[in-house]
Amino acid sequence: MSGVGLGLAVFAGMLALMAIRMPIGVAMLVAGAGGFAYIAGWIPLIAQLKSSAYYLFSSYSLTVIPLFLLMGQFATKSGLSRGLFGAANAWLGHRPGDIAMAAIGGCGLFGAICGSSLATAATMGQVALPELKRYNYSGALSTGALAAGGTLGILIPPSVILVIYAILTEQNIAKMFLAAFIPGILAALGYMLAIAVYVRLYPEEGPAGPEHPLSEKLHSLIDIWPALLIFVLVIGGIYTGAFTPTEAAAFGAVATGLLAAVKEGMGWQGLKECLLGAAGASAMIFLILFGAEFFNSFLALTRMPDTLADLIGGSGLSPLLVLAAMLVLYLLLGCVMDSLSMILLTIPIFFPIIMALDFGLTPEGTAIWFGILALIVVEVGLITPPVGMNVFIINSMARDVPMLESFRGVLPFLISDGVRVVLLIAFPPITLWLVRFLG
Amino acid sequence: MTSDTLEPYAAPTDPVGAALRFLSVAFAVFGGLLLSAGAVMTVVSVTGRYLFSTPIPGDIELVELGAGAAIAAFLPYCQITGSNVIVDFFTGAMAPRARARLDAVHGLVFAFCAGLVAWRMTLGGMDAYLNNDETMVLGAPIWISFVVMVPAFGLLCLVCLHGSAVRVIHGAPPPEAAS
Repeated sequence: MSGVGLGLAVFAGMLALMAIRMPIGVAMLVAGAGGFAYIAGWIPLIAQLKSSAYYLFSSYSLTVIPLFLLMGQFATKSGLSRGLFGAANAWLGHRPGDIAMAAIGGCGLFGAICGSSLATAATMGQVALPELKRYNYSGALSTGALAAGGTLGILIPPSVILVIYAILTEQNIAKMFLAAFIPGILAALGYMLAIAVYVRLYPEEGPAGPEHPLSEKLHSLIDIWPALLIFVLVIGGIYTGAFTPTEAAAFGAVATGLLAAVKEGMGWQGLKECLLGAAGASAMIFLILFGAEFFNSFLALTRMPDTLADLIGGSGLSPLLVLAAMLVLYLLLGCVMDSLSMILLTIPIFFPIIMALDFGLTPEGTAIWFGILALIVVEVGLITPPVGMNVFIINSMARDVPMLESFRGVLPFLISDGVRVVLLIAFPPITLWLVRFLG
Repeated sequence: MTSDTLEPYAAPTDPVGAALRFLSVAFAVFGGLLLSAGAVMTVVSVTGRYLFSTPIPGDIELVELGAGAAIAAFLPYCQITGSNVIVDFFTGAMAPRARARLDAVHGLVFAFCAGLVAWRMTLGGMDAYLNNDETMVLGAPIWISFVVMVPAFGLLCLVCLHGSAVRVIHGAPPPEAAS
């Protein structure tokens, strides 16, 4: 069997295992190790198993992931979310839909110290849902805004998925984070615009909140400076090269941990909850990374990624068409799969193809631009049916809202996502400008 | 970030399950403390580097050794709480009993993988010990990470086996108490 044929067959087998509920990391491990042994023999595989877990788990570039997750856990217990929502509310206040907009703003600000969508949605939901209810916002708009706002957690740096993309494709993490910045802010503004349009069409669903005097506006800023300081320390540190990403994440974890302990009186029980939360999320990611390591070394042996890249690169297909096909595939996969697994499964195959096509950008520019686009599109999977984890988690917090209502409420934000993706594809400088300007 | 996760089983009522749960939590908390200690040490080292030009020597190596052990120590907890990611879309309409059987089979596969890694890493750790494999700056022996990682993979193997047994005996995992 040719390399490509074998690669495709094992790939299909792995997808079949996933479809019958095998944990994704285990399916990748079994398929990858099996395929590897088929080509290279069992002896090298057995020898590799002696130390592969050690080298993967203790790889310095990956230590940033559990540290960012720990930082996110502490951030959820730091009480910052209240202040961030309050400030967004004070400054955006007194127009139709303002409280839903404040929820988006709060999510964006919280996303700057938390690299995970679910944690952002859940934390901001706890603070914002009662307020939205108090001002008679409809269940659809309330839960939709928070579910969509949660995706800002991963788009606005720090972002665990961007770290993994950067490592997979050997890109600079600082530049990836910079590139995500403007698309992230655009996302927040786009979501607010979606709310503004929505409440114009259905005014009863999102009435205006109270007016906030200037003194309250200024006072609210006091609550957000710790978050801003941590953001500047972490992201600024990575960007200026003062810190490695791991060092920055360590600073972030210690700072948010201290904040939770001092400001909110987090004790041993709270610490234990944070440690267990970070443990579960880290293990979930590293099991998939472990499987992906074996699967990717198998793929490399088959030479399937290179062959496909040559084939598609030389086929004369329009680069934009290929890109669009990949993004549509992400949307479809996103209906059934989580974002990290999608990135780990597809990037080893898609990335060489993208790099073989000419988008009129530098190779580095193409790599960064594609990473941001892929990130946005896989995150859309978190708010689309049938499996929209962000919608599930927010809906479970607002028990009186039917699930269908929540998915209806997400619609305006999906339209906003679609418009933004088209803009980012049409104008790569939106993504790359900041990287060029500061890089 | 997860899509669907394995159906968790409640804090197990059988003594074996309770013991495995206790051990998994203990491993995860220990790993978390190790990770936190790595974070604090890194902050001290970086502060020392910038303020007093005296970083902690070999700080990167210590983080690596600690993180390697910590991540492995997290794995059993993730499995016993049912937090590993699965695709639930195509099997959603199946009877709970059939789903539980599938999960039991996958549990056995996972147990086999974890057991295999535990066995191979025992040998890998012994190699590292006999060859005196050390980190570059501190000369710290790398087998100390294996001392945590091997039992962690062993525990993961037992957790998977127990999960499969529970699913076969009870037909379906009892739903976890709302947390």
